[in-house]
Amino acid sequence: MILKELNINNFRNYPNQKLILHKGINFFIGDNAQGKTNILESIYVLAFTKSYRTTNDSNLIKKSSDFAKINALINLNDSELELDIVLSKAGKKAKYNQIELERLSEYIGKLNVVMFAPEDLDLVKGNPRNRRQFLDLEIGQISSEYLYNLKQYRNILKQRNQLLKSLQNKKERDYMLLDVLTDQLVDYQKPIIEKRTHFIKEISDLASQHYKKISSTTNNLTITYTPSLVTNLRDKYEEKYRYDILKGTTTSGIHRDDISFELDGFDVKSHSSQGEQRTLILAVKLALVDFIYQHKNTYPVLLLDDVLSELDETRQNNLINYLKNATQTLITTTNISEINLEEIETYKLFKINQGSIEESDTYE
Amino acid sequence: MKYPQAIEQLIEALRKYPGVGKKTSERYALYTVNRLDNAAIDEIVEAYLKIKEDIFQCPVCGNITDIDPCPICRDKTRDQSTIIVVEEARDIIPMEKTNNYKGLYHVLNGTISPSDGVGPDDINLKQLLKRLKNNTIKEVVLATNLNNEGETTARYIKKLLEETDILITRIAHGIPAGGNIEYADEITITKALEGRRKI
Repeated sequence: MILKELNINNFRNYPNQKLILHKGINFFIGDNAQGKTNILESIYVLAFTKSYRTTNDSNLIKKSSDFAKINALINLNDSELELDIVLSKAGKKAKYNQIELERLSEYIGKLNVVMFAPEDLDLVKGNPRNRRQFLDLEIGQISSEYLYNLKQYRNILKQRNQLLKSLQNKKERDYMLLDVLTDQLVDYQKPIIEKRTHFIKEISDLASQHYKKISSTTNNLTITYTPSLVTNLRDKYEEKYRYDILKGTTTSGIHRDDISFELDGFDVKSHSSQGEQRTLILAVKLALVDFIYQHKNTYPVLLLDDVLSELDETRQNNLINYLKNATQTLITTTNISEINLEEIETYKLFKINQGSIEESDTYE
Repeated sequence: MKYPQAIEQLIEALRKYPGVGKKTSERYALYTVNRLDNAAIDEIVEAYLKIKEDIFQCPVCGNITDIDPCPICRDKTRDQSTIIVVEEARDIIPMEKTNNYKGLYHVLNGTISPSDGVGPDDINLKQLLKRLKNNTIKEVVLATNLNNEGETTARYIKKLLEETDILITRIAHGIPAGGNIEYADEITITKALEGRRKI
């Protein structure tokens, strides 16, 4: 999958911008706060219909404009497809080859992207919620059934929690409805646990290989899925009926799952440096590129926001050398003085200065 | 500016309808004042009064009716051994249109949904159990909607009837008649495969 052309209107600081992208590496170079990240964000929004930086779409619309529009021409297996997203105060519209799609869920997955953003360090440092969001976003890209089950699970969870609260004040408790809702919760949960287990198993090995390559070390990276419940779900819920009623909430289930990262057996959160954590996240992202290729038979577009800044020169060049033969990539950076451009060949440079973008063949 | 009190009152009253907001109810109220003559207003008032006087829920099945019991419950030529359980009275009409079902109905007038404050005691369930006690019913078809609340309600009823000899069935879901598999979404196809049967 190659993003050939990107057109953005009234998005963040860009009134009107057209970019012809290279199928190799696209460097976006500029000082801080010039609008580099906004370009990557627009592609992210085009893929997922929402941003990772804000939950309020009106933040994405340029000031004093009524709407923002993102359009792209994409090459997929020798055919061309066009995607449009229009964001306005009245909501958002998604078009696939000029045809408006009724449900956004039909649209997600048409453009596959993998993004590295500075916020992604939360995957290691943040709370389990960050890691579950990661699971849901990435598995959702390859399985709409997963997203469906997840939505239904949350719906049943809400019903069950409400029931647990109402049972707190009752002397004679009728467990029959709790039985029913627990059954439903278990039914939706099983395929989700299965998908999460497979996903982590797949990316753990891939990420470990990428980690060794980028860091030039032999450190073993392992990612482990730690589900809240593994087997005999039905019985485990029943054992906790009283406890759940006391708490007024469902205290176990996939909404309490987590994943952990270890380097040579040591927990990354407490034992690894900032640079190691960054490399680790990058390795996970590169694993996702492989993962999507294995499931979709096409490479996703890789978006790397400010990834170079905390990597040493060796790691920077290891990364770029890998990327040049891997997949279409967009990288933002303040400078590329430590990169050996002669060795790459397949790249394009864009200089960004206060929202104006200039293509350039050389970097000085 | 404020409308005279009678008009304000009508505006408020009309807002009780679903889909009618402040603007729409204001438009209807002013239309009533400006465009409807006394005869038209009398006609509406009379129709409302007739609803209030004549229409009630059938004490047997919960269907809306103007006779007790409702035409379906009193029709002894219908098959007295099957009951289709539906959420709302309006669900009966499409079932009757098929002309293929000659049994009885039971209207729950709602679904179990704790997050909306609706529990098993708040829907027409006790009456269903009462109807099943006289041993003439052989099959109960659970035709609540195929969403989570409908499914919760269906499973709850199934549990209630577990100890009886009554056959409990659930309506199928999957690809609609005349539907192309090509155009069905993945979830529908998954459900259709789960519900496949031997031919």
